[in-house]
Amino acid sequence: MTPRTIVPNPLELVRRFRQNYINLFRLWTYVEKKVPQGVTLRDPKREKIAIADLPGPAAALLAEYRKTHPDETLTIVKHMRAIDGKPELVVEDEADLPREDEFLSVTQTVTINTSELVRVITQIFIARRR
Amino acid sequence: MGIQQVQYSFQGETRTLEYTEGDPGKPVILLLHGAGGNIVHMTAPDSPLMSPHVNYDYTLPFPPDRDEGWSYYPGIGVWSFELDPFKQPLTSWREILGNFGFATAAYSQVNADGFLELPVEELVVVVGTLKKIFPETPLVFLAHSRGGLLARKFLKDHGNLVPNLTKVITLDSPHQGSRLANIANAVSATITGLKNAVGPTIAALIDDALGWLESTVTQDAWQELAENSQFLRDLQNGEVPLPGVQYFTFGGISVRLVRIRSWVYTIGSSLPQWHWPPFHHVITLVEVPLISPLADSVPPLTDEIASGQGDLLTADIDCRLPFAVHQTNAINHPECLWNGTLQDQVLRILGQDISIWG
Repeated sequence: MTPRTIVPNPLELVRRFRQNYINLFRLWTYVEKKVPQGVTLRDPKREKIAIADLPGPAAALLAEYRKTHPDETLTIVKHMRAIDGKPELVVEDEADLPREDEFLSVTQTVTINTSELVRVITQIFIARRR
Repeated sequence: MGIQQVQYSFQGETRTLEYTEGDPGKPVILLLHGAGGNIVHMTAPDSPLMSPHVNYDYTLPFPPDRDEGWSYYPGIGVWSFELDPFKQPLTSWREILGNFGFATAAYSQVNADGFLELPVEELVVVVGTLKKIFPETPLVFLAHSRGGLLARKFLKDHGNLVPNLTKVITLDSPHQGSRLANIANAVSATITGLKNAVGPTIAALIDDALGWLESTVTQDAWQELAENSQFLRDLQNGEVPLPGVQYFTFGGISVRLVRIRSWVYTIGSSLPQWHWPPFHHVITLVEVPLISPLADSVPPLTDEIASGQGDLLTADIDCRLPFAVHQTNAINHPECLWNGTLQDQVLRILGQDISIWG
């Protein structure tokens, strides 16, 4: 009997991301009409997200990707920084996610855990690749 | 199928023989369980009273992935470990024989994990009790594991008590002895080594699955059956088949008992989503490599625990008798108590047409 091997399916993961996605700009601006306390919402048109803004390991991973895909142009369109699962910074406007064939996400999660505490910082950057 | 009880006295103790009526003209089948067992081995192997409780369904397809909800922590690695679930319901020997109109009798042997001397003496009383209920009915012994040696010892010493005996059928009985009994300490050491090589969670699962094997091979009942033991030499010395009785033996050659399974996070569980909390935990079931399935992963120290040669407790080659017709099945030792293929083979021996065309 051969043990089952889990092989990730990249397209399925992209689709799952898209299914779970909620546009927070629209939610807070048009539905709830307020940004939750402790969250900073910024407009990416006014405050462009640069690749240089990526934290070190995420930047390195993206640089590696760009080497193998030199013909692609990447534009970072969304950014979220979440602390212990709650967003602290969201850089997003009304635009939807890039199409699934133009979608790229690069993320980084760092954690610290002792018997008294757990702290999790997650950063998500969404780019359009063309 | 009405189950009736009759009391008998053995060594000052009142004990119980259970029996079921059958079609006239069909023999009554006396069911003899193995070492360390009791009546439920032959009558209700899926009962919680069954020991060892090892009717794992190792062929069951794995269930679909499970959604464990959202978390702010990435889901990485192992969620949990488990064994295959139990296969239920199981059809016992009493049930299948009853379904085909055979009368049956079953009881819990005295001193089931000790030497055979007392169970043999008790069988004399049991046979006498049975004769009062079924005075003219032909008799068949159907014996699992050490029950087969109980039958042989009884027939050698008291064969004259069962002139109506027509068949003796033994299921994975170590007639030629058990090398596993000779190397019981090595087996224990090997299983302990396997447990030490893994974490405490998996070690506990290995205990659940194989603990009975360690305890069985070290008990007196099994040690008496060690290859070349005095008991076996005495039994074989001058043993002849009872005239007019047909002997059939079965052996098993599968050591597959159970899979050790692990729920692990899918890759997607570690990828944050645009959502809070960001991690969507989904777990999937896999078989733990290297140590699963049991007992295929245990080093084959001896034929009994070697796939293709043994059934975990006995080696197929040792389950044969020179005066018996032998059949081999790819099942493990406990499976003899409920395996449908084996039950069909025994029913054919009993003259039953079990063709699906009726």
